[in-house]
Amino acid sequence: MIGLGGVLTLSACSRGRSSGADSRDVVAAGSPAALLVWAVGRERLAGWPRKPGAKALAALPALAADLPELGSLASGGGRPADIEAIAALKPRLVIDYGDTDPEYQTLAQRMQARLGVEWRLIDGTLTRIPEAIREAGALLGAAGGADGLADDAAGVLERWRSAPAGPGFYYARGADGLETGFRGALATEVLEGARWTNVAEGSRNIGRVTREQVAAWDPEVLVTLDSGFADAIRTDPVWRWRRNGERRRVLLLPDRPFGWVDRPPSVNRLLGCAWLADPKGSAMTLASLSRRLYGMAPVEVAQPRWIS
Amino acid sequence: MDFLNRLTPALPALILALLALAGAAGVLATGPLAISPGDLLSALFGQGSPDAELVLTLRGPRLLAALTCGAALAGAGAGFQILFRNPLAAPDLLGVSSGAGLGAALALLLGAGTALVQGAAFAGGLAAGGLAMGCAALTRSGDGRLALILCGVVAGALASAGLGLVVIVAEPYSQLPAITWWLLGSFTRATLAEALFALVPIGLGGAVLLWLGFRLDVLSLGDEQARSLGLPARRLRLAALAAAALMTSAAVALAGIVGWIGLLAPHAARLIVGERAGRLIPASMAVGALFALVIDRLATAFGPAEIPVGLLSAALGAPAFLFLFVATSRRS
Repeated sequence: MIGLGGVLTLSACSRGRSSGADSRDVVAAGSPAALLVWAVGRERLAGWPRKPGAKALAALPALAADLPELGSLASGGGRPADIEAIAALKPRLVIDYGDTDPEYQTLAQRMQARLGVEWRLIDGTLTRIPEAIREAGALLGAAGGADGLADDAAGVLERWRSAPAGPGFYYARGADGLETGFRGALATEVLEGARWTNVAEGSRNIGRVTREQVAAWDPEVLVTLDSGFADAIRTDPVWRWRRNGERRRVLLLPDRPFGWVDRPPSVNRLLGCAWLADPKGSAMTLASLSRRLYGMAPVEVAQPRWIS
Repeated sequence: MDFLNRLTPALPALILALLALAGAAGVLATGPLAISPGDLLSALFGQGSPDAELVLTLRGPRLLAALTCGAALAGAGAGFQILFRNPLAAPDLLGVSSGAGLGAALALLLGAGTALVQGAAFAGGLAAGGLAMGCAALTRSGDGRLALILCGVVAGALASAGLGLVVIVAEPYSQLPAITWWLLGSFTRATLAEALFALVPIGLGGAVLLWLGFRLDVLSLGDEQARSLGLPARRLRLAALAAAALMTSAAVALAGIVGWIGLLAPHAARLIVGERAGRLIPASMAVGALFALVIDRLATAFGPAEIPVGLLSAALGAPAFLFLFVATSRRS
């Protein structure tokens, strides 16, 4: 199976390196890094750790579909990259974006030694997105554009921090909605930072709960990125009615091309921050951010939907 | 008196079934939504508060899923252990659990809804079991038991390899967690309709195993002995295997992969009712249902996050199995 993976990777790489391939000399270690590089200097991106799905690709410029899938060099799931195939691309730089604790720094050093290529680990903290964009811009030789995007990001985060307090929410992940981010988890950071109250107290991580537990928390709002789940519970009284007899609201946030609050934990979360900072007046900001982050046309930008 | 004499052999299984029902009542009365037993009892007769009715709506399917899955896995495990005269035989002997896991993972990879995932898991389990039985039928190895075990290992290994491939290609932020959680098992995701629907194959398989009763004991002695007593050994064994595979597939489709119940429950039941299939199978089913209720209750006993029942069944089942093994070996 690993052998097959290697063959697939190599053939995919060889197909991808056509015109302009020589300038695609930066490898993203994982999906968060790929989004950062795509936002700051997409012409340098050698390929996707995991290629976005068809619907996401439809919303992105054509270049996104042309890039090959290289596999993931970072820990945390997804098809692992074939190190030899990555080395054969002769990249000038590998960028990882996320945790910078000693474990990941050690991993970065090991991978740099194995590949013989500079490996830069950039801090993926949500509130440090502007700094991450600037650092990536400097590394990719795109400081001018990156500084503009970083300034926009800083403005969005400033407004997001001072947003008025929001409702008590339960963040429903997965097709059955029973996977959630407990208060303090990375997955719910965007919502909690905008002073929405996460009703799920627990391990500060991702976990599964029961429907009875959700009913006991009795959240005012269900937040989800999964349209399938939002459709499935449309008429389900347990999900849709609160214990005081009020109808529970469901907020369906866009997940295309990437999630607005989660999945992956990268610069894509700026869109969630921008909307939460000003749910009614953020259309221009969202269109501008989507263009700068992804190269999307304004017409492609989806809007959050309240389902009552 | 005659009635009592006839009742006595079934008494231990009856007591076990009553214990399982008492456990069910205990589980029904506890949970994150605090409802008084009186209110809950009123809700059972349609007179309870809205919260009590909500509790019934939520805990009822979960209880039914735990009871039926526990009974199904234990009954199938007992059937396999008798047929193969092997105390280590478990419901996954024919690769059914791995096949069901592969079916569910594929469905989740393709973005299917809950019903389709369950259907794919059920079909995957039956396909793996069918593959093992089909391959074994092609061999000419004695009475076929060894061939079945080996072909079951092959079917399970193929399904596990496929599952590994699905895990690798799954999207890491949404599909992979969904697949992982599914495989680790839960009784809470079943709706009432799904739990009731699973009762059909599980009930059918259980009925076949119970009907086979003493015939299973004869089959366990080998085909020649069975034929000498006028039993169609091959057909009966096929029926028993198909029934056990049906029960296992339905249980895994409903709750994910919950190991150890099918191995542990027959051993515990054997201590109480002995070896005869007619008593062992219903007693095993009752013990399995009770064990499933216990792990289901423990799954949410330590905080709001649910501990997967597949993990709990292994954590509790393995030492319990060791204890039973030591106890029975000392006795013998």
